[in-house]
Amino acid sequence: MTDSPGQVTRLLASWSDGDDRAFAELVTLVYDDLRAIAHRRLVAAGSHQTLATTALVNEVYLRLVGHSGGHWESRAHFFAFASRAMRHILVDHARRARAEKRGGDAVQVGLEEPIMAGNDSVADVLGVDEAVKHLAERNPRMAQVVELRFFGGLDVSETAEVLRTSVRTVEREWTRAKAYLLEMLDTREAEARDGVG
Amino acid sequence: MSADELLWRRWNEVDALLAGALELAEADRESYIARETINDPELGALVTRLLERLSTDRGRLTAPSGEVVRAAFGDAGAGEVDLAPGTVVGPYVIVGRWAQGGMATVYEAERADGAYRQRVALKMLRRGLDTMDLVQRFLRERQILSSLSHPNIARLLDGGAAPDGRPYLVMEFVEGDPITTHADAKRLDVNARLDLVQQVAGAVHAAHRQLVVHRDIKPSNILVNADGSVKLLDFGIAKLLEGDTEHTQVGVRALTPSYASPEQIRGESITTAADVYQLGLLLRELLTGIRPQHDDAGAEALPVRASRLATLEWRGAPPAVERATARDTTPERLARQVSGDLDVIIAKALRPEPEQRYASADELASDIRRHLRGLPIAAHPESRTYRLRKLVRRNPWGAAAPIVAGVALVGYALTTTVQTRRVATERDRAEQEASKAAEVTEFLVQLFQGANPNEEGSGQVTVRDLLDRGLGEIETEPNGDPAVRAAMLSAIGKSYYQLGQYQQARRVMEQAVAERRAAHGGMHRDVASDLSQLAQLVARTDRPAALLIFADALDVAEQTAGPTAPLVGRILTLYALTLSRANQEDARVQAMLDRAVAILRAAPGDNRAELATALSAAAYGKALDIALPRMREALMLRRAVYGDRHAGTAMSLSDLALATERVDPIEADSLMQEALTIMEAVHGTRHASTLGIMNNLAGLRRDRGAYREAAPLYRQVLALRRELYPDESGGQAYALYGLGLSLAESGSPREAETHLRDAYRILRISESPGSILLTLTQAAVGYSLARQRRFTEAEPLLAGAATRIRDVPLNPVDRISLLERVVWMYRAWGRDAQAAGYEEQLDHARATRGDAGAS
Repeated sequence: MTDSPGQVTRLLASWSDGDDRAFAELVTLVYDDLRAIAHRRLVAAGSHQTLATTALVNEVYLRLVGHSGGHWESRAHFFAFASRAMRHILVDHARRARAEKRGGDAVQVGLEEPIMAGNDSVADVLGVDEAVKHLAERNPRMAQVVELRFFGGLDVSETAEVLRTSVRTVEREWTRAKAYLLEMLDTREAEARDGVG
Repeated sequence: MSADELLWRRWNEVDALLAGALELAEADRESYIARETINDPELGALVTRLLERLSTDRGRLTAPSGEVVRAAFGDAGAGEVDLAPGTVVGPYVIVGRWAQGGMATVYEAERADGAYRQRVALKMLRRGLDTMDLVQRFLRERQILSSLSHPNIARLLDGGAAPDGRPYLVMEFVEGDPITTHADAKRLDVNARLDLVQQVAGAVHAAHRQLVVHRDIKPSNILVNADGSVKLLDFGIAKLLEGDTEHTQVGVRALTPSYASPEQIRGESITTAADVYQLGLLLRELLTGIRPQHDDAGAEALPVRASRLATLEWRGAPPAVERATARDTTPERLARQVSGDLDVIIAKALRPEPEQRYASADELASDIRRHLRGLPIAAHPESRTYRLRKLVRRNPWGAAAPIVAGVALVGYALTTTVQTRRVATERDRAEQEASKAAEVTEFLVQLFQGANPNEEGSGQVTVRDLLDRGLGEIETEPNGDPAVRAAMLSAIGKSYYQLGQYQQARRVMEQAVAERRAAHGGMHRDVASDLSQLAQLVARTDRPAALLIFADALDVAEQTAGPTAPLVGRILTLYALTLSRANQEDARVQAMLDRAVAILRAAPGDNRAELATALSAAAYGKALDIALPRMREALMLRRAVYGDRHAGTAMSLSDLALATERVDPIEADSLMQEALTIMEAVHGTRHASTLGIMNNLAGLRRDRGAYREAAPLYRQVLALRRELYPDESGGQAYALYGLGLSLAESGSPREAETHLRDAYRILRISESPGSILLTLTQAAVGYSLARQRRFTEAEPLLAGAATRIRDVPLNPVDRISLLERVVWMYRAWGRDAQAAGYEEQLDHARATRGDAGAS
């Protein structure tokens, strides 16, 4: 399925031109690789280790687009795509896991661990996803910074390159985005504890 | 009301204030906020809280928790243990996983309600992919399948939704191999394979009658049962032709790139013709064993004469002999079986324009049936050659002479580098055989160079003898180091090339490529280099096939030598030159050549010879102010590398002469004569390169009206071409055209007519219908008639051509002379009013002649 770097590159280009349909195509092309590589890395990492998504994304990229097709444009597109895909997969999974915990009986699934809403060391992906959606309404680029940094695991300079802006701008926006996200997450968690909303 | 409501309500103020505060040192922030929000404590409190959150954060937003990621990806390594054996889904029990698609997983399952046991295939959308888009696409597949009932289409039995909401569908369980695997394993011959394709076409036609287009017909979607019957599977990206609006769009891009039709790749609307195209690809693959391939732009499917593929060695494909054996025959016999009707059938199915293909899958099936019964096929024999040859498109610059120069020019990029190599010392032959392949190469080349005398004529015999003997030795000694053998074959192939022995060169190069692959695997820079040499040879007779080989060569070179290696620059140059003659992708050609020049300028080592070739190529079709400096630089480089008596130098002189023509026709003539003198000294007269230069010289003379000097040169070129290269009708056509026009202008219109009609006959096959060269030739036939005062026959040809070229880009020299001939005809005919009309156009053309490019 991933036999054509050209196909991936073309889809990346049309997706970044605003064609959302290309996203679904890309996910079907890339999903196996993303999963397989993530899995391999997770086996190597400790259980509470955060996932080094940058390395993951880079590895998938090299497998898909290769060294030769690697002009920056498509690499930037790919980072953006992979971050979105990662968000999509994680959120999707978390949402289903939550549904199952609430008693959706379901087909046997191989989910071993519960999602930890309110765990104070790590933000939960559903909360962040919700918060990013709000953020996107006010400042789409700030939301994109969060997507690239948090879900895609890109560092500040990579994020700056994808967004074609300066490192300093990304740092500023990331700091403010964090403030808003933390505010929103804490508010939600407080509401959940107090039984509001 | 949400507690962060304030944040959203006063977003702009909050964000500005927070941004401002963050620019300050931490100690100054509090007073800043106090100052800015002196009358607005609500806002101040919020921003203060936000700052506090940042300072107390312990990295919660660094990344998603490992556990979350682990849970989402944790099961990936074991494949998708999504539905474990024994899982019950509706009335079915999962037996095991059967196949994994991009969107869905197919399980083998059994009906579990006790009534009866039935083995089924249960297809379920994969976890994580059940987004709205994909769910809808999946549901559409179910809807489509439910409308189909045909013995060669896997039947839909049931459908439903799993408890987690994911849809599934249940189908007839087909146990079998993909059609290509099956055919090879059973060593099915051509006729048995045709029978399989006919079955597939029948199934596809049945789907079409239900207004369903499959869009993904490829070997892995067609299984063959143990009893030999075909089952078409996977309508996952199929499309309903009616009443399927919005969601169709989701599927527009879903395709298997190598098996997609041109209109699918372009994202245009899809009709049943897309399936006909894919049936054509299937047929070609089943017959020849070559999978469809696309160039790196991805866009252009290049239909190749299928019979040609039977004998070609191809990266990624088994050797020709192996492929033929799987068809119970030899490559040569396979090629003969496929040539003729089957070539025509495949070409018709693979037409780039959907409306030119078979109108239905059924028509395709019926032509296959007719062929099997020995009946004439419906694809009309008269248009047969046209259909095959139309692939060979024309050069956008229209004029004949530079094309020929280009053909010869191509020959020098690789061979010259070989020729300039020197081996320091003589070595013992036995030691050579044991040494590295590269040394053997150099040895052979040196042998060749040593035996090539400076005087023309007799020397070639010796060199040929030497090569023939060398080849004989290699072929009679099948053992030995494959790397050494490959290198020797490659060197011999290149040497044949240099001698103008193209057929022999091609045969040897094909063998060299095969041996290189055997020795090094497909990914090796020597493979790339040999492929590109082979492509040059193939380009002489089959340009579309050559383009495929070039794409392959470039790919291998980039991956093995790196994207900035001189080898890549060299291949890019040759590829671009061939491409520029195959169609009109001028922008792409220029980009390739610019890249080649940049690579070769920057690369370490001595690449002056290759750079000269790239510069000459990049000068083509350019305005004079761009073209001339490039050509002069190329000439300078070649003189420096080769000296004054070398074919490469001659080619540069020829290029420069052609570019200079419009500025100074006399200077151009003397430059071209110098080129000819050199070329004759190097290669003798009986060589394609010499003939190319001679043709150019004739063209210069014809263009400046020296027809009586041009005609004898054309005659010589024509006679030698017919004798030496009888298969290469293109070169003959150019000479015929030039000769015909020269004769028409110098008082022999009747003989001119004969030659021009011959040229027209050849070009009508090799050129596409609207081609400028074809139009010019038609006009020339008309002119030869006018010169015989056969005005009523002449008028439609000449005036028709004049109308056709009105709005197309064209070499101004050609435009002006065509209009001059139309005016001449009407004047000689006494129709001054019409003549005056064309004179106006002529004046305009003369006035703007300086605007267009050099060529």
